[in-house]
Amino acid sequence: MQIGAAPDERPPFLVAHLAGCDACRRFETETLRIEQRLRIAIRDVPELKATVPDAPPRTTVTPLPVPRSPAARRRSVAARWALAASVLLGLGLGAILWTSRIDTALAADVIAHMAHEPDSWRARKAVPESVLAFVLRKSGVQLDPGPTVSYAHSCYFRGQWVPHLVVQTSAGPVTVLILPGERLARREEFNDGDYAGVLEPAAGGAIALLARDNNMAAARAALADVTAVLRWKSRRG
Amino acid sequence: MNESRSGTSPNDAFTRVLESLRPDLVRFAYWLVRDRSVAEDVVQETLIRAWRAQGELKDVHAARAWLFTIARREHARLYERKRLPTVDLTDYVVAESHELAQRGDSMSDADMMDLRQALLRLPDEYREPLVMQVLGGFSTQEIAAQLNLSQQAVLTRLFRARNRLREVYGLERAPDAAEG
Repeated sequence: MQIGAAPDERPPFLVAHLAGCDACRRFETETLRIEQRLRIAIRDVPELKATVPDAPPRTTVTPLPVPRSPAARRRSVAARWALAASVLLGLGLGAILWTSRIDTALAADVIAHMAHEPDSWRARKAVPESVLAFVLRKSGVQLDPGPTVSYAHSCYFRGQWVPHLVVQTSAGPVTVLILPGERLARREEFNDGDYAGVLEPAAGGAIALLARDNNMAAARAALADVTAVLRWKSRRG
Repeated sequence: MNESRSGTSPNDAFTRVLESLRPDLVRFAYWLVRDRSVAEDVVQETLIRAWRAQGELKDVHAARAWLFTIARREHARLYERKRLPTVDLTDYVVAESHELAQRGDSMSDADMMDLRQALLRLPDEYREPLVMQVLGGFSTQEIAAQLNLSQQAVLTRLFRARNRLREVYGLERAPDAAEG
C-alpha cells in the first residue's frame, strides 16, 4: 500500500523490504512509470478565463427598507417634517437631502466570514448542549431552549471571539453571529445578491443573521426565534 | 506581507503570489470539479476571496495550501448554492480528454486520452487526494489535515486511486482486501 499511496516516499521499512521482494520491486517500477505519465496528464487542462483581481474587490451590499407598522410610518413622517422644519429654521437652507446609511462594513464582514465556512450550513442535527454552552460562555450570553442549533463554533470576528451558530428555521438554515459590544443604532436589513441578512441591536451588543438564496423570510424568522431566547449575562461597551 | 525595500506595495506582492499560483489553482479546480464552466467560477471566486482575506496569509510559503483550501470551500459553497446535478461522465469525459489530447506531447494521444479519462472517472474521494498530492505536492499528513481524515484513510484512498489507473496500462490491480 505504501508504494501505491505515496510512490515518492521511501521509508526505511520499505527500502528494506524491496531489497528482498521481486514482486514489490516490479510493482514499484510499474507504479513509478504510471506516476511519470500521471504528472504529465494532470498538468494539462483547458485554459480558464478567471483572472487575478487588479484591486481589492468590494462586496455590493444593498440596504433594504425595514418593514414598519403604519403607526410607526406616520410617526416617522411627522418626525421628519418636524426635524426638517427645525433645521430649515436653524440653518436657513432651502432644501434638505435625507440619506439612509447602514453599517455596510459590518454587513460585508458578516458575508465574508460566512463565505469561509460553507460547511456550517450542512449539519441538520442539534449540537450537544455542552458544546453550545461552551461556545456561548466565552461571549457572556446564553440561549434558553428554543430553535434547533445545528452548528456552534467560536470564531474570531472583528477583533473578538464570537459565537457563530446556525439555527434551523421553518424557512431554512440561518447563520447567527452574536456580537457582544457591537454598536448599532437601529435594525438594518441587507442583501448582496446571494445572501439576505439582518443586523439587530441587542442589550449586550448586536446580532447578525444571514440566510442563503436571498431568503429574508428565513432571516427574520431566525431573528424572532433567537431574540426570544437570548440572554445577555453581562452588558458590555 | 511587508513592503519590500524596492518599494513594492503589499498589494503588488500579493498579486504576484496569486499570479504565480494561478496555473496550479486552475489545474486543481479543473480536476476537482470536472466541469470547465464551474471550474472557472471556483477559480474566480477563490481569487476574489483570497484577495479579501490576504491579511490571513502570514507565511507566503503556505500560500499554495491556503489557496487550495479556499478553492475546496468555494467548490462546496458553489455546489450547495447551485444544487449542481450529478455529472454524466460518459460523453463529457470523451470530449474533454480528446480535446486535451490534441495538444500532443511525448505520450501518444490515445495513451493521454485513456489516462485522463480514467482520472476523470475516479470517484471524488479518490481523485481529490490524488490531485492534492500529485499537483499540490502535499504530504499524506497535510492531505489528512485538509480533508479532516486520518492519515491511514488518505493512504487507502491514494492507493485505490492509483490502483484503478493501473488498468489503463493493462496491469492488474494490486490486492486490496477492503475494496475487494
